[in-house]
Amino acid sequence: MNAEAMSSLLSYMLIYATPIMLAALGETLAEKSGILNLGIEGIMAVGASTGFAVSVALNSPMAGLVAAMLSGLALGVLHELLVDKVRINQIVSGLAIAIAGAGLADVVGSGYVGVSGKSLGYRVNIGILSRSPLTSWLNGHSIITYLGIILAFIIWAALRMSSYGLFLKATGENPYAAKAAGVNIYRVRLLATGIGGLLAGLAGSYLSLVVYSGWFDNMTAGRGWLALGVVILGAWNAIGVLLASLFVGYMMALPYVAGKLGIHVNANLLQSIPYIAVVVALAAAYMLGGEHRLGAPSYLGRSLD
Amino acid sequence: MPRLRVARRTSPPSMALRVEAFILPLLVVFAIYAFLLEAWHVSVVKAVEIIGMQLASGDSLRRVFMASMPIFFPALGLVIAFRAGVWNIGAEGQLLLGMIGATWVALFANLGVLTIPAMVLLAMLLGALWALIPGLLRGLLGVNEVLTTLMLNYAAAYLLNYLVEEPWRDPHGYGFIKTREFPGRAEIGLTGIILLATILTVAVVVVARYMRIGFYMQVLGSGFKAATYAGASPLHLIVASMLMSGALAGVGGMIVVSGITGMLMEAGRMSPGYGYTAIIAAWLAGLNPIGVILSSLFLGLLVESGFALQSSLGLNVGATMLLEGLLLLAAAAYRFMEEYEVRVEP
Repeated sequence: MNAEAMSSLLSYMLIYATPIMLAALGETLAEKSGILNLGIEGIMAVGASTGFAVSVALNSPMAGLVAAMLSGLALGVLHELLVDKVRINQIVSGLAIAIAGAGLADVVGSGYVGVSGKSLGYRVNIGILSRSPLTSWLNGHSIITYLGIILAFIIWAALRMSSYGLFLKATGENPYAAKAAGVNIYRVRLLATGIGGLLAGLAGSYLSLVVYSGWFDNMTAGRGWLALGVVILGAWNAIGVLLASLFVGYMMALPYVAGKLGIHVNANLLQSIPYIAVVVALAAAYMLGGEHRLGAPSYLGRSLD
Repeated sequence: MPRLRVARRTSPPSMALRVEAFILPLLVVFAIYAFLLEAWHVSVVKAVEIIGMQLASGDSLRRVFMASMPIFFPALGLVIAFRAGVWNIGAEGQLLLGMIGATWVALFANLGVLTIPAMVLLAMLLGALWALIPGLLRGLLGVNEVLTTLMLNYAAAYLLNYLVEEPWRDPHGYGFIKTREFPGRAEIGLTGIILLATILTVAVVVVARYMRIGFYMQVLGSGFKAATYAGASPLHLIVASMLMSGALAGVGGMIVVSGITGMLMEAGRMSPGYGYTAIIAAWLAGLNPIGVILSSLFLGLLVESGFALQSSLGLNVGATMLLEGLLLLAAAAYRFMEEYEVRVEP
């Protein structure tokens, strides 16, 4: 493989990894509190279409970004309320949000198919990185990518070292003990799921405002589901999630450089690679550890009585 | 200050309460949806009229019935899986594999009158095999089946698209991405579909109600440990429920290619998400195999009306999906009201 192809492969890897990383980091927080949010795919889609619609309507990509995050926050909060207040099974509530969200995104975006919008911009240019082919792929991405990577480290540190991290982990491991110790577990679950939704919304707007600068049907194409797999592959650890999303990003980038590498296979077969890779990686991860050795919160997915 | 307290019911709810618990969430959902439509400048009265028109003529009734069948067969299988606590969200992918199997028989095997039975069998086989992968992974390693079945939905769509784009593509298709049209012997009629639906519904009811495996599956659904104590192997039960639901989803795919389109096209044009709609059909029916008949017809009506609304009111497919998601919540809320009661405490 020549240096140029390798560099563009790695650059695409970062672009593809970004939305998955953001959504997976948010989902890590939610799952740490014990709430499994299968709605990520739908929330991401709503973020993408709302973000783009608002960005065009107000002629401000920044306003679109904020709208995407707020819509994600609202749907995350909705999931927590459905689970903790209406006592709907977490899997069913998440699936409903995934399906309704995909539909809502289509409805919101229906007037914007084919409309070209302004890109968010804010590309980071660090001169020193672009000088060597070894590092040039790291340069010139949207600021969201770099913030996402920094966020992974912040979440990792917060979970380890702050009292908030302790409350969050306690809520997901043993909510009754946490409650007895004075933690307001419902507030923790609400906040964690809400922030998880917010980051999924942001991930969606990265697609519509940075990568494509537009909206089309099925823009998210399963990235939300891939993010849910990434949380497991990353062993519920923010740094692990960062690495796992880079792995999936790499798999998603392969089809786009296959031609340059002299590989001529039907594009559909190449595009199925990330989904199959995640299934294989999940199998390997469970073979090595199993859910609880990997670090799944004990109360993940269980409803509180 | 009086507080609302949610507690598990001590006695089963009365019939009147059950009806109330079923209808109330549905009314709430329809009210929310009507509000959204009006907010979107779509007249609810017109939308209801269009839905009504789907029931007005024999021809449109036939279309509603045909649209409900690819929902019905997968939903029948999902009832088995969900009852066993196996979250097979992969009916969509298994349905696409069913299309692939049925198409292979239709295009490349000359079996005369046996063509349609062979199409059904190969569709069931491929659907079941596609479901076997997540089934084994869950049964042997404990891998979360929600994610693996979903991943395989995407993989199935790409596989199907590859087949119609390259090896199976009709060279005389004027640039359209599709296979040759099926020969007449590969097209299933209304009688064939009704016969197939009857046989498979009876089979599912027999398995669920009268066979030991059906009982064990339900035990498995209520708790993993309980099934082990009852002497059943969770691995066998998980794999069996996956295989059955995958096979039935495959039949749904066979109905699409053989009864509706008569050829294979790209996945996005073959299925508006029948496999996902089937999840909602199974839940709306309260995981009851007979109830699935009604819920599938109802959802078939919605899907078919969705197409009509698309052309007359400019509402896109997303509007139907949005309603489907809300209906799933209503079905789940019904389950809640059946199991829990809300008490007012002083």
